[in-house]
Amino acid sequence: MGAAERASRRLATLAIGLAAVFAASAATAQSTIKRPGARPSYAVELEPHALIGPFDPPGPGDEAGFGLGMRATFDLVPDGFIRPINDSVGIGVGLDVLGYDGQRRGDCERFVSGPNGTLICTEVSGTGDPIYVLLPVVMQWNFWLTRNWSVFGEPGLLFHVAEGDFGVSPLVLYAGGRFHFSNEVALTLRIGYPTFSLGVSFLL
Amino acid sequence: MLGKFARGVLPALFLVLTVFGCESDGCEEGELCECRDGQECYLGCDGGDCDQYCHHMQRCGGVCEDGGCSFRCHDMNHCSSACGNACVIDCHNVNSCGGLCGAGCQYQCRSTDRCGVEVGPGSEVLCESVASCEVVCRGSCRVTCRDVARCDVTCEGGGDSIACADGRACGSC
Repeated sequence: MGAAERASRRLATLAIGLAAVFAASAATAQSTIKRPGARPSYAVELEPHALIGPFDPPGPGDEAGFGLGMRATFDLVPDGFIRPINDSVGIGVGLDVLGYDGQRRGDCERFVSGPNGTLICTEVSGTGDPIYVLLPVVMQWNFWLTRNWSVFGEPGLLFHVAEGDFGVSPLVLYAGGRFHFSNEVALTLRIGYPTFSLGVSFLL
Repeated sequence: MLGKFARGVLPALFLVLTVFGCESDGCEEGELCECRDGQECYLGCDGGDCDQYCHHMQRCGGVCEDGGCSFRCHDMNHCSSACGNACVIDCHNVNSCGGLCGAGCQYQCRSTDRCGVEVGPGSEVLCESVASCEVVCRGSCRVTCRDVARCDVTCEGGGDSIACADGRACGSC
């Protein structure tokens, strides 16, 4: 099974499982999804988080990665896209730093001449453990399910820097949920490619 | 509040950890690290206990430090290996095998057109069914040549090797 297929299968399994968990939990509370505006009022959500990178990232890294990061999401469309639904839309920008395993394989950086006219590779590129800086820019579409629960989807793009190489992934997708302790503080779990995060959201 | 938290978030966390347990594509110390079915690939190793394996490629190689790496290579055009002390290398059914290794190296080169190996003291080299086998020994070594058209062994400093029952040696047979 290839890495992409394995990642897709695991992500699908997790998404279905999380949806079931959130739905079961939210169903026991009083719904606010059909009451637009019944949600915490905030201008920006600041969310420091811990990260795991369960997939092979773009570039020289290999699963798994671990790190820390911060997401800032600005509430730009408080009434959302669907008028009768309690939704809202923001723009999120992030800064995530993760250490990944190196792939332990790559191109030969240096050949030397061996006996009998052979060429021998003595140095391989990409065998260190690269540090990644990830800069996601996403549209966050929120759905405010109950007083304690909200979920969101985040399509966007991802800028990434690793070992001096800069790259852009034109489409990344995250999905997540929040458990609101109060109008200002929530626990936020996010899954997607290439990272999952668990953090605390401060709605300011 | 804590009850709601426990009912919702804890199962979610458990699910994440269950679905995404530890998994690796190898290449850590003690794991099989493999390249196959491609044009060119070179394997590295952090540490010294890597199990490197190349096959059915055009060109492939392994690089490893001291500590008992193993490298296997077959059904290719060219295999290259560079490692420190106490490594075990097996190269067969390829056009050419090239290797550099440190002390206590065991290098096998079989069913190959051309072998070229430079080994450290206390190493053993086997060339079998090879058209041309050329070994440079940096210290004592033992080279066995079976069914080899040309078996050349050069000792450290350009010294002559001595003839043994089924090959040559630097130092004693």
